[in-house]
Amino acid sequence: MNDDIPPNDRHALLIAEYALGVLSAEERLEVEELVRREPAYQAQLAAWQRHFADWLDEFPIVEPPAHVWHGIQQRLFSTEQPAPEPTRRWNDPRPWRWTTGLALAAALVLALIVLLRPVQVAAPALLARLEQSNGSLAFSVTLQGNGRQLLFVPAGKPDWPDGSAEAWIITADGKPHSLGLLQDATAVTLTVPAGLAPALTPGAVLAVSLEPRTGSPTGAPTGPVIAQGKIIAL
Amino acid sequence: MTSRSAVSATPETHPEPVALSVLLQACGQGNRLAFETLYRVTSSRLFGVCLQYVGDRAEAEEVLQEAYTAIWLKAGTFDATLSSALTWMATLARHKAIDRRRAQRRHEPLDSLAEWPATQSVAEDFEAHRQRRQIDLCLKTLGKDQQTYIRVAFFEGYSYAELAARHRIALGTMKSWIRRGLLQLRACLGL
Repeated sequence: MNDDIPPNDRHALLIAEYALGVLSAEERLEVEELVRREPAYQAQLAAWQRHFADWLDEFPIVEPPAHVWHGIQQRLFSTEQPAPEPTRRWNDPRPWRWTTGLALAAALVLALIVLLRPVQVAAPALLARLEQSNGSLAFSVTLQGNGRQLLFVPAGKPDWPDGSAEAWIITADGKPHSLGLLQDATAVTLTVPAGLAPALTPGAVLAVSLEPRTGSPTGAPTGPVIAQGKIIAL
Repeated sequence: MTSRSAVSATPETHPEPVALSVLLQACGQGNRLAFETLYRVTSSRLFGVCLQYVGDRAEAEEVLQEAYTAIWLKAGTFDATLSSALTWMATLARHKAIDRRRAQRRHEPLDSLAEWPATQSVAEDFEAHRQRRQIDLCLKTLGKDQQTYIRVAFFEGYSYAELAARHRIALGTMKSWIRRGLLQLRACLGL
């Protein structure tokens, strides 16, 4: 059935078919090889996938059971067998254990390639995992953009029907300072007041407490602390 | 679907893709804390994708594990200039799920056309949200059969041969509709 398709369009068509998902396993390998060889095709495939991602949004959001995460850890990090490691970069100590000069040279070339790659994202280099008292993750917090925006992403479906959740940073003197209120179930960006910006360093503690609907009336946490964690460097 | 649109409608949530991208890149450097965080905030989206293609819940859970294992192993190849982290991850999960669905080789009842109608018949409130999406605008420029079967192909995850058999349409006709449609879509999307 390729007969009536102009030859110039065949590769472009294969890439579209790949993104749509109609190819057989062998044809998909062929496209993956094509895309690996040709950056232009790679960009084209990514563009199709961006468009089709709108349709992926139509799928339901379903919380997987807890044992799925344990299974993933088992597969990747089980202590019985050596863990398969991800594709490593320059800061991996392992290449330096290689003994041949060739390997060392290869590692240096790799390091250069990685270092010379353009910076792709204005990377928030800090992350805090705010955990509940039972150790489960409640919020992940990353530092955004100009270094004064904290993005709080809830890990589950937080629910505080009769009040609000308020975010705090605990400064070195041990005093909590309010960062603002967190809505339930959505990611929220809070702007850190200029005076508190210096406190955003690895080791500083972020916490979330339950408060009246309009926030703590006293300027300090009045309700139970539902999650807390230290800022770490990524 | 509703919660997703509610989330994207809030301007404050726009940085989320950046955060996911950074977490995924940290996974590429072997950061397990970043991986767990990434799993916590994305697994319900990806599980929805797996369930769509693999109806059996236990199998969908296995596919989800395969997907996150691959995400960890391939995180170093993620290119933030080409796609968002969520798109990259969901696409990977979708391919794993499609593979599993095809391996099942089951002949399921034909119910999908009713579930995934062509663009014209979608409920109005949803339509308003979709108006903004380029792929749906472009899809509308295609013939009716092309619109229908491109969506069906995406949401069912079957190969040409399976689609043709399920919908009782000659293989050649099915291929031709979808291929012509894809080429037209490509022109409309400017790819």
